[in-house]
Amino acid sequence: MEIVRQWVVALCLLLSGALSVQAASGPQPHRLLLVLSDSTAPYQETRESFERSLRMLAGPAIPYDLEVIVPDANGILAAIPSGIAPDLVIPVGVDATRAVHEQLPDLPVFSILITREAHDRIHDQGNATALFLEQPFSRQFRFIRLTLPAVATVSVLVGPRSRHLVPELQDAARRSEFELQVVDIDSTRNIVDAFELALDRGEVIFALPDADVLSPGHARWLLHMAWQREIPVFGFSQAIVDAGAFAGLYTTPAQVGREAAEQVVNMTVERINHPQRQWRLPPPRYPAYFEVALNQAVARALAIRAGDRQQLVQSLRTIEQSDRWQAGQ
Amino acid sequence: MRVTPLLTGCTTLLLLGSILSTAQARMMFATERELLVDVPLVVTASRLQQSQAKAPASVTVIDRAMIDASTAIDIPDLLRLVPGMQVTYANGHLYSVMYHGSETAWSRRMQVLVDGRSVYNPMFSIVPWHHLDIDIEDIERIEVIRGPNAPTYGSNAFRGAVNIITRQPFLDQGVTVKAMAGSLETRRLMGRSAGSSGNLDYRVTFSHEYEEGFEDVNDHRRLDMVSFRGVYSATTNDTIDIQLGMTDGPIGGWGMSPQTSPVREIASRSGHASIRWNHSVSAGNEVQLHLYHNYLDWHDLYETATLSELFSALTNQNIAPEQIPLLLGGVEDQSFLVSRFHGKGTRTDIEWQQSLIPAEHWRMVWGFGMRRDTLNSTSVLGYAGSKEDYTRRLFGHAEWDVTRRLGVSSGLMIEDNDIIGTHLSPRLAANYTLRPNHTLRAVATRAVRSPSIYEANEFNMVRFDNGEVFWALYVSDPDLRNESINSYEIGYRGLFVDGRVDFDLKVYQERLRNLIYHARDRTYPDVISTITGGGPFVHYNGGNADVTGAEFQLRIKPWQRALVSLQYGYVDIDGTLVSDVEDFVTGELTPLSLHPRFEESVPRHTASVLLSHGISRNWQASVAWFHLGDTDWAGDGQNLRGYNRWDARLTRNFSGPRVRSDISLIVQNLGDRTYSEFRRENEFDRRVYLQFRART
Repeated sequence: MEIVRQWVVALCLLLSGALSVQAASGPQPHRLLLVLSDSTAPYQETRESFERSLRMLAGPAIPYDLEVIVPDANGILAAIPSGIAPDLVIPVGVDATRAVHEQLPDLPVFSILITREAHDRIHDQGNATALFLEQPFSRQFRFIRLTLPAVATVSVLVGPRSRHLVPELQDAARRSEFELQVVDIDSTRNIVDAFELALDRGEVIFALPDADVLSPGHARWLLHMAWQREIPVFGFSQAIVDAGAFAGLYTTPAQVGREAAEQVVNMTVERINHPQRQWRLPPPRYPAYFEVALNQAVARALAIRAGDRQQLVQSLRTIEQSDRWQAGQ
Repeated sequence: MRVTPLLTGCTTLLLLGSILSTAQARMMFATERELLVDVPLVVTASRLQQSQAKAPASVTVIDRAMIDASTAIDIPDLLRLVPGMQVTYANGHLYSVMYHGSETAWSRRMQVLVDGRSVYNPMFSIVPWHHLDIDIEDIERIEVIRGPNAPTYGSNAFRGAVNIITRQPFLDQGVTVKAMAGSLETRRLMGRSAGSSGNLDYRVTFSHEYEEGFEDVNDHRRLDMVSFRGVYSATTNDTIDIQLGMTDGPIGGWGMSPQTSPVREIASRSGHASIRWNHSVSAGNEVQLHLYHNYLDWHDLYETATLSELFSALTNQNIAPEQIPLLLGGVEDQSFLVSRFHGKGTRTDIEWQQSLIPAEHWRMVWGFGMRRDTLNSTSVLGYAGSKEDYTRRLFGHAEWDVTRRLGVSSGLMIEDNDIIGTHLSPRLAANYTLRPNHTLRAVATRAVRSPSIYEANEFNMVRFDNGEVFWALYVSDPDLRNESINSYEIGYRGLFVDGRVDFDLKVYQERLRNLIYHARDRTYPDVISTITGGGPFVHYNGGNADVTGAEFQLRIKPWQRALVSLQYGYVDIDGTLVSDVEDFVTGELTPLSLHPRFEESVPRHTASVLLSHGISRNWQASVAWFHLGDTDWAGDGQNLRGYNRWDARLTRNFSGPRVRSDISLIVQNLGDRTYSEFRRENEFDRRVYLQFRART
């Protein structure tokens, strides 16, 4: 809730100046173009949350003109209904981001519901920022430390698409005083051997969202093997926790929509205060909102007394704020 | 080696299986879809999974690593590593596995499940250990519940339950072959292909085994087995698990007497089909529907010697055929077509169950089911026909964490069958956590075992061609009642040194009543009984026993690839068993005399040790020690001295880029100190096996 408070304070301070500018020139709606990767549930949830949050946060003081389009099966964007170029394009997901990058160049882009890697690969340069979907490793390892204070060794499985993350993983693990055991799936005969090796070496498994390592089918196998060996798995979504992982840290599409709306309002106010400037995009960032999922059935089977979800979220936020404060000092 | 059509079919299946493979094109970086994807729920393997510390019973787990480290080559041999469990060979192909002893060659007081399928067969009410339709290589783990578990698994789980859980097919993707040769002319061949195709994980296994059995005993077996398991993930929340299997081949017929039970072969065939649908609403909240069918079919028809030959042997005189009518009141000399171990038993079962978390700190499972057992056996029933028995059951089990330290659980099974009507098996248990990793438990269970369809209906007679009974072998008491056990146990489980030392202790008292054993009716008026003074065996509620004892297991994992597992059980039995009854014909059985040595039918001390150590990356060595105290085995068994047996295993692993293989040398009874299993003629001397295994 801290972040909401910050935003409210910021808005109050800034709107005083913004409203005087608008009073002189008349309220001009800010044109936003939301591009959904497709019309399935996660993208629609993000959209609904974004629209609702935008209305709540901006109110009538900051008028927005929001248009929504979805690329066709070939990734081709339909014409913008109003025919007017937007002030800011908000692609939701990797397909939308790629389509916007290719078909609407030169416009400011704020990608949401996207992974850091996808954003970095598509927007290697240009006027673009993002709100990532995944959690920073530092947060993930802090979470493991909070739930299982006595654990010393964490296993992580990597594949061709994720092995470049190892130095970053090592660094984050070290900061939370874990010994990280990295198992590359290409170093073993097959994926099951890799799982066995990871389960042999670590007291817990930290699962990365890499489909080479953990496709839905593979995830089921890993969870099965971990369950039999009574080794907790930390996952990246509610779904993997429901499926049998011990715990997970994740941001929901609704939370992404809400945080994206907050950032858009923030950018708009910045622009109102400095009308001569282009949209000033903040640097890409990890989500501030996140949730904790705990599988009580697994916790019970592994004889782990899992804490309260809300308390865990609050503790993680407190630690992160404390870190930021110390970094600021 | 005999190659059967079954074997040929398996090879084709193997080839087909290995062709299937999947490939999937993906982006070169992780996208949001990988974070948002649905993941299939993990299917739970047992009725209500829980940590061992919170289990409402004493549990021993034998996992895959322990199986690979052990010196066992057959599944029952693994159960020698369970405290309080006795395993003996009644002959080369008939294992008797019992918990706290007092079982005959046909042990029938323990439930054995393979992936939830009861393999207990109505044909002689036994667990046919060589007809489980699985290979030891396919086993992931064995969970043994030591103590009555009828509240969960029904009346077959009278003294305990053995849950054999086979490996998920995905664990063994690729092709596996295994070959073994060694003592007793043992030759075994196994092949397996496992893989995935879309949402289906599958495994096809075949095996062929030949073993000569004990020297001078006609107990060889030559069995071919094929099995299939397919796990289909229909949706992320629904799994369908299909299993099929069949075992076929001849086994040696005992050959106890050249006149009445000659050396012969029994055609032995079993099969099963099982389908289980599992729907997971969320973790800990799921429903399951399981339907299966098993059968065991023995073909054992043979002709006895003629009456004149038989009487010559009985009296040690030369009796001519023409003397028979004079001796037997006009009955002509004749031989008999006997079907001693002949018949087919089937079990068909359907069960629905739901596990759920009704409130915080609560877990529950409940369900209902119906079972149909059939027995079609001329030798057992005394006529060419069949008997069937329906059992209906309703069960529930609930666990409640009262406080952080105290948990209580309760279970109840209500069964109703055609033999004895309705009966209840309840259980109450409490677990108290002294401090983390140290738990005390107290369990009180009452379990009931209904007479099986076999025990309740046997009327095994050899008749003259005029219909008169010549020889009565086995009959059932028409007033047979259920057996009961009241069991009380206090246990402690502690983990030390970061869980590397795992110690479990159990002290118990069991009160067993109305146990069904064979008593002899020496007043039965058949011809043979009259001449020999013998009499048919009667299934009779003649046994009562108070059993007290203690047992522990200690598992130490000092470092990786090293294991020390020590098991010990002490049993003291105070009881009586009726050995003779009279007046079966009037229908009112009267106990006549007691078995003089019933209390010695349980070995007082049972112990085993398994030490395993990875000498280097490629070498693994194991040593095992088994001890069984003096035992006067029940039924056909004999009074035998106890034994100490040392086994060893040495394995060399080879790791190639595509194929991983190992060669194992397994030596049982290392010191060659011959001892006897169950009967004196079952002499167990040193056995040496060489096994090769390769996996792609």
